[in-house]
Parts: sequence; structure tokens; C-alpha cells
Amino acid sequence: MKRFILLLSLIALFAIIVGCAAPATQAPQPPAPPQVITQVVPVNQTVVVPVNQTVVVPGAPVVVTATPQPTQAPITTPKPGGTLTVGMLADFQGFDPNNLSWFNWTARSNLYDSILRYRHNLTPLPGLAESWELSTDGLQVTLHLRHGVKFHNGREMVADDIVQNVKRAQDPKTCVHMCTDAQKVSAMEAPDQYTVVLHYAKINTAWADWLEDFFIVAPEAFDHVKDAPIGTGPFMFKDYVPNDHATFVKNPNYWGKNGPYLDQIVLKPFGGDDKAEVTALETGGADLLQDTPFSEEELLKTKGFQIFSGEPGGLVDCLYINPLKFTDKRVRQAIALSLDRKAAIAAMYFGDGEVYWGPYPKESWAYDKALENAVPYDLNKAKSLLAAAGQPNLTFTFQALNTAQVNLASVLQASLKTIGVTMNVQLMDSTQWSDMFVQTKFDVITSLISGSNKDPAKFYGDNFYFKPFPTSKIQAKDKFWPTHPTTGEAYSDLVDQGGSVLDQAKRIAIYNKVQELLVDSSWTSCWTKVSSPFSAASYVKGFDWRMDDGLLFEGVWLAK
Amino acid sequence: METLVIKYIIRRTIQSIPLMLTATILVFLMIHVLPGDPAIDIAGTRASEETIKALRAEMGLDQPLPVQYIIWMEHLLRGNLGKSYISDLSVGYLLVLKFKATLQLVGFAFVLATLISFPLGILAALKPHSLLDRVALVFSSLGIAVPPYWSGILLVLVFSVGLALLPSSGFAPPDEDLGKSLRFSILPVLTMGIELSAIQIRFIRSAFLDVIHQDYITTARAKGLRERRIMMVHVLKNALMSVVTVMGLQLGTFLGGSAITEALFGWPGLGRLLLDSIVQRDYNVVQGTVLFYLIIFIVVNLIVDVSYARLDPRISYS
Repeated sequence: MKRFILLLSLIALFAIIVGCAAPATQAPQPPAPPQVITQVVPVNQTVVVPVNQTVVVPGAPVVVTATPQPTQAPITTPKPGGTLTVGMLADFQGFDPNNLSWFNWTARSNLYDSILRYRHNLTPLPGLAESWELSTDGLQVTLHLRHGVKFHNGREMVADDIVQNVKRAQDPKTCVHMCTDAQKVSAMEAPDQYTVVLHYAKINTAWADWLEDFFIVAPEAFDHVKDAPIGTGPFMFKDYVPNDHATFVKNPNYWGKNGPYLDQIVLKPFGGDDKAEVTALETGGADLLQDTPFSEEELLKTKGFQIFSGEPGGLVDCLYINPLKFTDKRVRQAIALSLDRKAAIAAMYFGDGEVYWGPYPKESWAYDKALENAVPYDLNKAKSLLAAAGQPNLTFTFQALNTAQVNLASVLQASLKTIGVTMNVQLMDSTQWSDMFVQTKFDVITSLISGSNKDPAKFYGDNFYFKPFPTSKIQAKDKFWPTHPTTGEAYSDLVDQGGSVLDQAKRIAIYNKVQELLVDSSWTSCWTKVSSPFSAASYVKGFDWRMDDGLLFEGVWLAK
Repeated sequence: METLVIKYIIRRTIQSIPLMLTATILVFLMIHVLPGDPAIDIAGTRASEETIKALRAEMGLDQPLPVQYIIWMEHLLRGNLGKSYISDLSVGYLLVLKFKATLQLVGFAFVLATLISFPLGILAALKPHSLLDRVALVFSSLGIAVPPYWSGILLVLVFSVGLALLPSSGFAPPDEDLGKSLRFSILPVLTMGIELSAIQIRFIRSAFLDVIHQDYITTARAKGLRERRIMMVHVLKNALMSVVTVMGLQLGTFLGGSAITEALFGWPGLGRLLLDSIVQRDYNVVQGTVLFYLIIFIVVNLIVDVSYARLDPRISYS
């Protein structure tokens, strides 16, 4: 009896400790009491004040109380100094800006500068080039470089550095993901220290998109770009410990006018553990998260953290239905018609997405309104297509890269089951998945594509599975030549044409045909547009991002 | 005696060579037969086929497997473990860097476990069926039954999220900032220390109980020796043989099996390095780390075996 009581007491004590711990999901907190901020307000300037904040204007008996504006107060003066700790889901893979892997984007956009810049629209702004001209025939781009830009080692950047970087991006050994765009440059010269002329053999409508995405490394550091990178960016590389952290420090000689304000940035990878990442943000171990799980957005908002959605249309998620396995397009169409897009968005993105049917967001000039609802959720039609194709009881596998994709697969699996189709789900690690993807040995997968908010010509050049087939010797033995259902034009020809004419109206017509072909052929079926959510503590200000959602810390400062 | 010990060490080292050789073959084969191409993972799915081919050639992966193994062994015999495909850093450098972090974690956990398990285990053995004995056994049972990832998360919930007293993850080298380093260490050391001590309590209690009831202990009491002397000189020394064996095995196991705790607390140790390298198919790092673990295990076991002679004069290495 005594022993029993003792055991019960210990269990009760344990339960008390657990009960006192903060629950994983909390009820919404009451709104924070209004913060009083004392600021100097310039004359004749409108003050926009965030909710629950009160601004007291010194020297005047005026108290301005908040109106419910969601935007940040634009009048605040950045406070220099401090260290920003950024949580990343996974570790860097070197610091080569030619590597477009998502985990390198923060390094690219902060250690380096690009030739041109975009800021939330496709109007090119000066970057390392102050001005530029495109020849009337579209075959020559002349760049006029900014004077006095220094690499982190103190040397001034000159035209020959750009030439060397383009050559590096053309070399298959060092181009990584830049090959396609860089190799379009047929010749180049540097007539003086600050002028570079790029020649193209064919019109390249995506020349500005490429230059916006082309970051410059000091040529003397080419051999050390993976472990000791030297760029011209607002931050300089200090140190890197694999699976622990990377540190970037302020570049005191930066040419930009808006910062940098921070003393340093510490980037910490969390080994794929998004829960640990969020916990670090909640407990002060991180100030900002590059990759915020969709499942945690609402909870973080209720706890007073800032949630930003990245660039509209920056990311599109598309099913890839392997045409080398499903050779009959009716089968591919049936699979595409079986996806309940709304349910899929709820399962994979927790409702933070928009239903889509094509690769371009509504913000893009290439978006075709006529194709809205071109791929409805229609199981009856899917069933009849399968029957017509002679495969009413199809069996195949969905290869998933992570648990979020497994959730999506479950939605598709449930729908297909109702029409007699068996879909198995196989979860793989990233290396195995990438290998399978490149070798085109999958049945059905889904993959996020970036760049759909930029020029379609670049989009088709960048994205492996949107390139015309066959693209390599691996696929040569299994040819897949999709054609337009009405005009019979080949996909590869249409894509080439779209990137080779300058007339916008003609390009729109061409890309409309491309989208019709994509829907008809259904080897890809885009189903949602998402924006990368970023989260930050309330004191992180001046935060911005590129069109590809790469974080920009140039203007970031800490209001604490 | 010292000469005998040295000869024993040399003999054991030579005997471990075939084991190491077999391990190199097994590790090499196991990691290379895993599906997935590291060149594609590094280059990314957008890379051109030419880039992937060039990268594969640079990594030596275009050679047949036996050739790759021979090249790796040649470098290994010259003390070169190669470079990480991902970070381009030398494997040797990574092992030393990560081992320091793991040693800090496991070392502190071991000290904590010893401070908990020895008093509790000994007292439990001296007062069997008492309240203290029951507490020790319950603590031990819970510590063994509760997985470290569960207890670790619980500690984070209570001390980091709930009470905001300690960081939930992170690491700082002690030579850079000792205070910060200790703060980051508390939760992972507690997590690992609880698990270690739970196992040790049982062994210590059991070993002590075994020795306490031996005839020579009864004789010692009958001779009128003080209880304290009996415990510290006769019981402890005889009980330590089995306890040292278990602790040695534990040290080796935990040095190699710290991956879960390291992953949970963002601790950049060997376990995490190995996990990440396996997922990324960073062959050189995987091979180097497994070999390193093997060496640690062999060394720890050798130290345990050598210590037997100190504990038991009847043992000879001739």
C-alpha cells in the first residue's frame, strides 16, 4: 500500500511538472497593451501608426493614437548596431552565388550584389550597373558599371570582373545553375573599366531577369567561393561552422545608401527540424526565420511575431506526371483532374495558397485568364478518361520528398481511390528524390517552382521539367514531343519563339498557346501559388526580400 | 608491470587492425549502395548534365567502386580522410571540431550521471527496500523507459518556453564564452545525464548488493573494521570492476550515439554530422566519422581493460 501511494505521488508530481509547462498550442492571447513611442516627426509628414501603438510627439501636446493600419510606421529612423540571428531550415551548401539552391539564397543576396535589381515588380533598377542599353535588334546589352564599388578585400570592381564572372558561369565545371543563361552570351568585351558589352546570337527576352539574378564574385576568390567568399554585398563573410552557424559582418564600405545597419548576422541551420526553429524564435534563440512552417503561422501571429508573405506568385507548386510512364495523355489528364486543389492547399499549406491551373501568377503579363478553371476537380471525367485509355484500375506511386508532400499525396490518394485507382505513397530523402527526379524515374511528384513571376523565357530555361524533351542523353531513348492540340506546333518551338521575339503582344499569344498545350498534355499540372512565409520578432525592422524571396538584410535594423 | 601494460596495449592495437580493415570495407559498401547521387544533390535538380558529370568526375565518383575504395584507402594510410563534398572542408578538421562539441556534451553528462548514480546507487544498495531504494529504482526505471527525445522536449517546454530560463538550442565553444557555453549545455546535458545515470544506478546497486553479501565482507565486519572502511576499501573496489566495464561501454556508446540529443538541441557534434552526412551522401565524411567512432570505441575499451589491473591485482597482462 505504501509503495503504491509513493508511486502515485511520483506520477502526480511528474504530471504537475508537465501541466505547468506551456502547451504547444495556446489560446489566442489578449491584445498587448498599447506601446508608447516617443518620436521626432518631420513637419507636414503623415504618421501611420501600427495597431496598439501610441505616438507622442515631443514638444507638442499631441497624442496620436493608432488607426488600424497594417503597415509599419515609415518615419522611424533606423538604429545602427546589433546582431540579427536568422534561423534556416537546413545548412548552406557553400556560398557560390551560381548555386540557386534555396538554402544559399540568403548568402547570395547579402554577400554579393547583382548587376540589376528588381523590387517587387519587373522594372529593372540599378545594381552594380548604374545604367544599360539594349540595342534595337535585341542582340546587344551594354552595361555601365557603378564607380567605386569595392569588393570585400578592398579592391575596386571593374568591367573585367564582370567578364570573368560570365566566363565562370559559362564553364560547365563552375556554372552550377547559371549555365543556360550565361551560355546565351555569344561574346563580350570591356571597352573601358566601367563598361561591359554582352552580345547575343539570338534575341534573349530574359536578359534583364538573368542579370538581376547574376551575382558577382571577386575573380581572385573563385577557388574559395565555397568557403571564403568575396563579393561586394552589404555584408562580408566572417566564419562558417558546418551545421552550426555562419556569420556575416557589416561591410563598412558598402556603396548602398540604405544600410547596412546591423553589425552582424548569424545564420543558424536547424537540420530540417522546423519545430526546433520555431521554438528558437519563440525563446529568443532566433530573431527571424527564413523558412517558417505554414502550420505555425497563425500561432506565431497570436504571440505577437511578424509574419510576412513573400513575393506574390514567387512560387508555384506543380504536379509532374511522368509522360515516359503515362504515355497516354488521357491518363495524365485524369490524374490532374483528380486533385482537389482546395483540399490539397489545406493539407499541404494550411490554407495559405491560391488555386491555380497554370505556371504564371495573376500578376504576370503572361497569365491567361481564359484558362481559369481549365483543370477542375472532376472525378467523373477522370474516370471516363481512364476507361477510354483502357486503364480503369491504374496503380502507381507518388514519390514524396517530405511529410508535407505526404499530406498532399493523401488527398490525391483518397480521390483516386473512389474511382478505382490505387496510388501508393513513397517517402524519400532529398538525395534519393533528386536523383530520381533528374533521372526521370518517378511516377508522380510535386515540386515547387520559383521564378514564375519573372519573364516566361527565363522560367522555361531555369526549370528542369519545363524544358522541352528530351533534354539530355538520359532521356534520348524515350522521346516525348508534346504538341499544341489545335495547331500541332511543338512545345519546344513555341518556347523558343516566346523567348526570341520582342513584341509583347506576339509573346502573349505564344505563351497562351504554351499554356493550352501544358493543360492538354498534362505532364505538368500546376495547382497552387504560394508565398514563402517569413517570421520575425516584433523588433526586427526594415525587412525586405527579392522577387525570388531571397532575404535582404541591407536595410534591417533592430528596434531594441 | 608498466612494460607488460605497454606490450598489452601494442598487442591489442595490432589485433584491432583486421577489425578496422573490415569496418572500412563495410562502411564504404553500405554508404555507396544507398540510392541517391551526391553529385545531383550538390549540383541541384536545375544543373545541366554536363555540370553533374563534371562534378562527379571531380568527386571521383565516375570510377568503379573497387577503384574508389583503393584510392580512399591510399589517402587514409597517408592520414588524409578527404574533403566534405558539401562544405569543401577537410574531414579531419570537421571530426576534430565536432568531436570537441560531442566530448563537451558527453563529458558533462557523464560527470552529472556519476554524481547522481554513485551516491544513489550505493545508498540504495546499503538500504535495500527503503524509501531511498524505491526512489532510486523508480528514477532508474523512468530514466530508461523515457526516450531522450521525449525528456528533452519536456525540458525545453518547461525551462525554455514556459519559464524562459534557458535557451532551447544552440552551442557556444567554452573558450569563446564560458558562461554562454554552460547555459547552452544545461538542457542537453540534463537530457543525456538522466539517461546515463538511470542505467548506472541499476548496475551500481546490483554490483554493491552482490559484493556486500560476500563472505569476506562478513569476515571484515566480524574483525571489527569500521563500516566506512569496509565500504570504501573492500566493497567499492570489488564492485567497481563491473561498474567500470559498464561505464566504459556507455561512454563509447554515448560518444557514438549522441545524435538524437544533438539534433534536438542543435548541438553541432559528431552525431549530427554523421546524420546529416548520411542524408546528403557526403561519403568521405560518413566513412571518416564511422572510422573515428570505431577508434574511440577501441580506445575506450582498451582503457577499461587496462584499468582492470589497477582495480584487481590478480589480473596480469603477461
